[in-house]
Amino acid sequence: MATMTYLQAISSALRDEMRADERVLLMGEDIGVFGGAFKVTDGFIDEFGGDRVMDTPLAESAIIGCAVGAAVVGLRPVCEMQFSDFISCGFDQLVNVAGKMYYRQGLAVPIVVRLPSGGGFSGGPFHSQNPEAWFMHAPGLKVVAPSTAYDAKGLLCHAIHDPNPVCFMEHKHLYRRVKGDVPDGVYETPFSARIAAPGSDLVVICYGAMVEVALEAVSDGLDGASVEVLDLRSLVPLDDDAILDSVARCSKVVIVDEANMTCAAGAQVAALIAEKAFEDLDGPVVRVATPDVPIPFSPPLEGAVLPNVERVREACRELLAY
Amino acid sequence: MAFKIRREPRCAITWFGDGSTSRGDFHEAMNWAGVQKLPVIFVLENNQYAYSTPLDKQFAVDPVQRAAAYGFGGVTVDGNDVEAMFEATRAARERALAGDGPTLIEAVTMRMHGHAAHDDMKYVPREQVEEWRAKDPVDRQAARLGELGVDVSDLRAEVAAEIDAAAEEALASPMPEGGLAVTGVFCEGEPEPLGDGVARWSGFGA
Repeated sequence: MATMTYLQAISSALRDEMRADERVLLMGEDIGVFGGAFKVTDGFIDEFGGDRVMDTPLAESAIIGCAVGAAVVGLRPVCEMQFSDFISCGFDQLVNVAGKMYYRQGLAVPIVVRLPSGGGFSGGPFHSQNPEAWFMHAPGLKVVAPSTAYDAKGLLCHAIHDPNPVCFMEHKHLYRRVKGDVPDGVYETPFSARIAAPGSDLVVICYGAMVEVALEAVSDGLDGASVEVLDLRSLVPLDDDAILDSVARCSKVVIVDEANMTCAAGAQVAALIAEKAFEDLDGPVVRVATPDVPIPFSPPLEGAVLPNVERVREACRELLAY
Repeated sequence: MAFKIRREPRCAITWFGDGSTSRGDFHEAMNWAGVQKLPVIFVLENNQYAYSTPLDKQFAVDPVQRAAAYGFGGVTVDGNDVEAMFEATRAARERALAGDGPTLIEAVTMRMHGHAAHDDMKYVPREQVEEWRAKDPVDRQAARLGELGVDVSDLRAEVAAEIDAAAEEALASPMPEGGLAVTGVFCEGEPEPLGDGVARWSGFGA
């Protein structure tokens, strides 16, 4: 057990998996000699060599395509998109090839695509997106999004072991801000939700960087209300049981997405609650998300669109008073 | 790429059409294979129309020149000549296994039917279709073998019977139940990789 940042936990998962299983290899832009744009794979090339820590051409479609090819002949590739935004260049290979291979041909595609995502640091419109919902809508892809260092490692290990393509949404803003105890060696966090803070008057349902925001929002300023925070961790599969259980106990729901509002993961959660938990509700389902705009570069403009502690707290206050 | 990493004496072969050469992923794959000297054979089936779009709207250079642009060899072959295709593929495979990297084979051919069943192909001049009908690769190979004293009529009858039997079996098979559509999206359990290239579903196993 060691205290690590979220980023170090991701590195630790990759390193331990590569030591345990020679089929695991990493592919991406600048991940070898340079150690990755965020230094997740710093030093890896010295231990594992250039074949397993592969500096690829700047070609996202080819990265995913080669990973699919390698996976169907028995390797376990982990692809790094330098920024999740760049996955749009590899969309066809991920959505149409990787996601549908098993359904069409019975051929499993055990790949992980690491997607450094999210805003909050003036990255601008091409380096700040949260594209998880694109992949939730594409059959055959799993989508997970850790919020803690412990889960970053555990979910990544689980993703590498999973026989299906997994989109691993790692939030850049959490990389060095979030720290926690992380066990040595390989362990798996299941693709299911966890209660980040228990409560009974209202539940805030969120994932990724919004978990920290929600925990801070409910920690005070709500007049002693008992507010639960449910960290989804996995978006595909979505943990319907955990969501419905929280709603049944709390009766009031705020759903927070850092992603753009329309058709975000939270929209699916809201639809689930409307369909399966209508009788449990004691107020409207409230959503907090980024409006449907590109993420601005300008710090005050970015701050105006991303959900923050105050917006979440305000949403909770209003719903508690309903 | 996996074969090279595992140092296996294998090569990969991929087929695509003339229209595909306009796509980004074609160029990404060619570049990648060239950079890493991968044991790959790219077979361009140039059948002269991408759906209805003719070659002069598809590329401004002879497509076989693309290979040189990515640092490896390319060869244009009469795609309706079975032996020429075999020889080009054999030589490309030999290069791949020797570590000399990929090869692009442009197989020049012609589509003898529409893009799909609904397509009457009236955008293709009749003379062009007839010209290529005379170059039918199976007929040409049969004639070549005939000159060597080999009678292929029995083999042809055998293949035709096999196809007829397969078609009959398919037609006699029950249509799937609707409920099947929502199963099999995700793999559960240990993946079964392609292994030595003999895929379970290819019909070449056991």
